[in-house]
Amino acid sequence: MSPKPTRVANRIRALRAERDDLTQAELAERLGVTRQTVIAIEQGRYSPSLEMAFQIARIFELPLDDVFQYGEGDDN
Amino acid sequence: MNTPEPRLARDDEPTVMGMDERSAWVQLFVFAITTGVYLFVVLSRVRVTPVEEVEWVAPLLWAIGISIVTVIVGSIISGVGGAMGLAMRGRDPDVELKSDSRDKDIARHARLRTYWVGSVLGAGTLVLAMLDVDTLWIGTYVFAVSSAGAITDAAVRIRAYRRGFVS
Repeated sequence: MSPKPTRVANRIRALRAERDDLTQAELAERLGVTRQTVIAIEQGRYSPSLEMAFQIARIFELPLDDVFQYGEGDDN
Repeated sequence: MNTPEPRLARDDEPTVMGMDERSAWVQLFVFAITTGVYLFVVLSRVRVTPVEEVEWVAPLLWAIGISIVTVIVGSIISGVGGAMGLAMRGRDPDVELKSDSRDKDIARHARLRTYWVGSVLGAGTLVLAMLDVDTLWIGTYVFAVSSAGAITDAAVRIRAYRRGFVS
């Protein structure tokens, strides 16, 4: 499998499961994006905009960095 | 007869390509084929006819026209096919095929990465004009560079959809 292009990791999948099995499509509907985009974010293939990241955190009623984490490594 | 409300996809159901990704695939194949056919037709004529007598304007206009029309029609047909498939499974095509912020980011990502094709390779037109080559070569070069830009744009977008990208 090819490495993920982004170092932004997230816990969206786990949080969805904790929130009464919120589906990808339901989360996408609340964000106004497609399910493909939610899947791409969960898999680390797409980093959402800061605004969308805050929207996601708000849906889960958590601070931003409880949902998204920035990976360790070379900062260049 | 009442049709049931479309339902949201379950997590275990396969996703479908959105309209923008479908258009990228259509653009990739159409420009590769029309450019290949144009080059084959004109270069075949160059082999048997003096360059200044080769009829290249009509094939070029046909290639451009067919490319544009086929990309539009092909994208529509692909979208309609996708929408019908989703509707038959009770899902909502408007929700699953629409463009969103990721599509816009991918389009911008592709534009930034394919800018050089038009600008750097396009400068070759100046070189050909300075060398005073036949207009066939200049016209063909400009078309080939434009097609290369469209093909590269489509390929970068498809790669971003499949493997992800950093904007």
